[in-house]
Amino acid sequence: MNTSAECQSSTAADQLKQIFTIQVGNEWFGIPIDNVRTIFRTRKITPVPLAPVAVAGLVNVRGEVLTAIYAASCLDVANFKCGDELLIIGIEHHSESFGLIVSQAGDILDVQDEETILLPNNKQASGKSSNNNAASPHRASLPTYKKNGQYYPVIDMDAFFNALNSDSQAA
Amino acid sequence: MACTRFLAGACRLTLSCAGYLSRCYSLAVDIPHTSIGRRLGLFWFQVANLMSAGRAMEELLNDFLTEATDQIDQVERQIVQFEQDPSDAEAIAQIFRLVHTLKGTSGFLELPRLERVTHAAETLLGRVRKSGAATPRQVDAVLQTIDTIQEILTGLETSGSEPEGEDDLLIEALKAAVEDSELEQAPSADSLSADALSGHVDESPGRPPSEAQLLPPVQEHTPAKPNRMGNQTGSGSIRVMISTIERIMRLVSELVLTRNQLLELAREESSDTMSAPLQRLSAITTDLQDGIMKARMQRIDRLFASLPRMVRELGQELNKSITLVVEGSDTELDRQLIEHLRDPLLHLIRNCVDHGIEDRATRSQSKKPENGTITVTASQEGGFISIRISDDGRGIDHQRIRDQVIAKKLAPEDQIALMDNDEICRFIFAPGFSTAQSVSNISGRGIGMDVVRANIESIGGNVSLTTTPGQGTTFIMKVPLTLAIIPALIFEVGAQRFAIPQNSVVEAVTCDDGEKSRVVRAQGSNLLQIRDQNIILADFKELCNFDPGNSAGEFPGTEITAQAQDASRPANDSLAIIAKVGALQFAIEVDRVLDVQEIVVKPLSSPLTQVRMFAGNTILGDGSVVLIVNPTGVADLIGLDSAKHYTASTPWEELPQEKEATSFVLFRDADGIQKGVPLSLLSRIEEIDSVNIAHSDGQVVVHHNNTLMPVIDLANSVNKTGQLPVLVIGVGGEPMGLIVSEIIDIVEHQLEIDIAGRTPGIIGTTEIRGAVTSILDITHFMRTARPGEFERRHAKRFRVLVVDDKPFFRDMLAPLIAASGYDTKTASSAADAIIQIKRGTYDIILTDLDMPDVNGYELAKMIREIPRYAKTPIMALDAFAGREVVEAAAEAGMDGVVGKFDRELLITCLRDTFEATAFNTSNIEARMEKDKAA
Repeated sequence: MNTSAECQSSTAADQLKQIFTIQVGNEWFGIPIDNVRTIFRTRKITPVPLAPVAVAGLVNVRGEVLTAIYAASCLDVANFKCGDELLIIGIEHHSESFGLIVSQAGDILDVQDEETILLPNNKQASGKSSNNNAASPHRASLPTYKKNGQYYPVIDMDAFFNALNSDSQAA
Repeated sequence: MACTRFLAGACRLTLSCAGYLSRCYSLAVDIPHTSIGRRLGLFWFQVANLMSAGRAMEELLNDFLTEATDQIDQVERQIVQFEQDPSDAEAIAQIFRLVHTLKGTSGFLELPRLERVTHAAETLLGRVRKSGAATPRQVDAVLQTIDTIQEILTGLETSGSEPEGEDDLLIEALKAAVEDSELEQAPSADSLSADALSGHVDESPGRPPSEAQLLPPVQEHTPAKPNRMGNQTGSGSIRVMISTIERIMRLVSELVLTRNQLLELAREESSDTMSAPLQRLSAITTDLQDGIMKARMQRIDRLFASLPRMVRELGQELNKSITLVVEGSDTELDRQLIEHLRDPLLHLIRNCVDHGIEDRATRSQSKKPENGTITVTASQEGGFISIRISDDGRGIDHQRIRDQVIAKKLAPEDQIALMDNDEICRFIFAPGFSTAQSVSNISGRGIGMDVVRANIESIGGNVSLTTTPGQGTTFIMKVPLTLAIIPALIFEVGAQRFAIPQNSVVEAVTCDDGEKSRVVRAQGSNLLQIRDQNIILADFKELCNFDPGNSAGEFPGTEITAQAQDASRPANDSLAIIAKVGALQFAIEVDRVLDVQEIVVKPLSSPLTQVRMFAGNTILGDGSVVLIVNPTGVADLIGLDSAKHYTASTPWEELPQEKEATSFVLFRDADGIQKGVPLSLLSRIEEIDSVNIAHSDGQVVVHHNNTLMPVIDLANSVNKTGQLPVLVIGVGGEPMGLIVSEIIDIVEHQLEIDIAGRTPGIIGTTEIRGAVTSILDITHFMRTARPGEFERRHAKRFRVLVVDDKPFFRDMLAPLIAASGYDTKTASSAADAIIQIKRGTYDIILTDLDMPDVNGYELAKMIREIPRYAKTPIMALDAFAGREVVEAAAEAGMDGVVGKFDRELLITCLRDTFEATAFNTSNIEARMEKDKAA
């Protein structure tokens, strides 16, 4: 299981050349640049009752409705706080529109495959979800880049949304 | 014709020498007046372009596939049209051209299988074109060809290369079919060009006739001509990607929002210079919105195009000859809906062919034309499209359905007994229902009709049927015009707004106004009591888990104001929205109902599709996103299962009619057993001192108001003293009483007898308020208490005959009518009724409609044939006097329909009838109209 996940992510990493960085809580992440559409702030969000906890609600961005998701919830980031105004990164995944609620938007970084570091798999070792690999945090085996002294794990979008969907099935 | 030949020549040139491509193009575009020619020209133009641009063959193939699929749709339509009208030379020429086009391009694209098949088909079509008429065998062969072509094209689309397959049989069939034309008509000199085109096909003459020839000829005459179509397709239209339309849609809704904001601003600043152009902008925006909505619409044609062939093939398979008449194929509806309608429509038509239309022998026996007719009609009615599918077949056997319903325990038997034929028929749509005696591969596997219903209901529509035994069945599907824009009721819970589709909303009422509606708690859930109905009431907040600390709990920083904090329910000012899903009703408690708006439905993203409570979202005028409530999902959440709770009541237009409750007086007899008697049969309730009770001549009588009244002593009053309650029953002005031990209450209860009575004086047993209750048979007591009176008093009165197969109704109605002063006799069947009618003289006949053997309609016709009863009023008794029933009753020669439970109308009706008889005028209908209006 572990090996296959590593294989997948390393092949994904081969194709990545640019990432968009975001800060969630105190941690930084990268998103494949191809997925990013817009960045905006909003106060108006429509909560969806009975939705998975990671779903914050629906937001209208210029006539398009996107589903806003707490990135922190999917990435297992603790201590995430946000005020009335939400910072949202609009992304597209399988031709559906989503918004990731983040703490701070960073820059576009050029990265090269050689810079990939595989972090030790401490999340799974911690045993939080050792029996539940499908929904387990994707951070554990994410390809990570080091730039200017900062580590940027790059989110695997498919895994990210799979986890969200399996969450919602469980719920 | 000349054009085509010319074109064919041009194509050949192309095949042999790619260098001539450009010239070929210039030739092709010169061909006027045929859309095919133009398309072909376009295609070759593309070929030329592509070749020069050096684009891959793959893309070329894709273009070809798109074009070919379209063209095949046209061929199918044309060929059935041709078959129905063999003199339609234009149709066959069109088919020929299309096949020819396919042949040419398949050769160019190196698709040998396709080329071989189309080549053989072209030869055949060339002959047919000349002979001017296609034999069924030829039509079969061509249809088979189309199937093969489609199969190859599908393979091409998925794999990029021709699928493996053996076409020899088909080619043989095509070649054999060519001879049909030769037998009929020797090739003329004119056929030279076709022979030149067909080439080597003629090498193998003298094939034995295939089995297709043994098939009986399909209908040669068509009573009604289906719409001619297809001629105008292709010209004046362009192909647009759906995503493009969707994008324009989105931009238009954005524009609408911006316009609204502008209007708001202008209003605040009251600037005159701005207002005129703003008005214009506003009007144009609205027009634009309409325009783009129209662009999403498609003719229902698309759905109907495949029907003629399907009906034809099914007919052949079952050895029935069937004519399909299609009307209103130019009706437009949203393209999304067309796909949703396809399966239900096909299923219903299969049913008509398989079960509806009888075989030839049966048809000729019942003096019907051998040729069955299925009519499919589409029409727009307001915001709905209705599609009617009718056949002139055997209709549906009510009794068989009734038996099935009973056998499968789809409803309690006593309820079934109360249902009329229309209601019973609706069980066809219940899950797991099938009356087909034999299972065929066409229909009758017990799956389907419930799926049809579920599919149609899932898009906010409904399906119903009417049937007349021996004359046919009509199914009616009614669906909204579009799924994209629907009227919705906007309501508010906490600070959040929601939308619910208007077509599932029955009404919005105040939860507890203390008068018309009130909320009671029963078995852990709230019930909304309104107009004698009990509707389950769910708090929207509870359904949504609107609970502080739950939804947004994990991230307290993002506390959203819309989350209602107040979990306690406001007592009086909250509202209930009564919604329905199919026949199921429930109420949702909300804080405020705002208004009804046309909303643009947008789907929810995939992580939210699990939330069954919501069906989508929309953006309101102020730019806020609002969730659209899914009524089916809500019903599931509440715990109502629409599939299990399927009842036969009418969905849609009106509220499902609740069975009218009857008021019962509940009392205890000497043994303390709870008994009931319909309040309508009592004239009053009195208290009588036990000293006034006397036993004389084997009878019990009471002194009351200086008269003696016979009573039945149910209280064993001999052992009692003091005041005793007496139920006074009026028999034509002569009262009789029932002494009871204790009167418990007067309750409303639906007349449903669970166990039929065995002892005299008891009609049956039912459960009222959780207690077993015997319902008294008042007639029995009247006969006992006033044996002479009961008969004698009515001898000189008007005579009424009540015909009903169910003893319960006879026993209920007879005393009721008798109590009004009429001499009443009952008959338990039509046969019984006829005997009584012939023996005696009756002034009016009241008959149940739904009886075994001979139903009420037939009975009415039989009565009318007896000369002295030609003008005697006949009234139908029906549980619900629906319009369909009224019409059918009038047709059978009846004078009107009265609801079985509508005591007042029944009595009024009788009185009016007798008055009319007395004055020799018949104004029952007028009276009934008036009563209804009142």
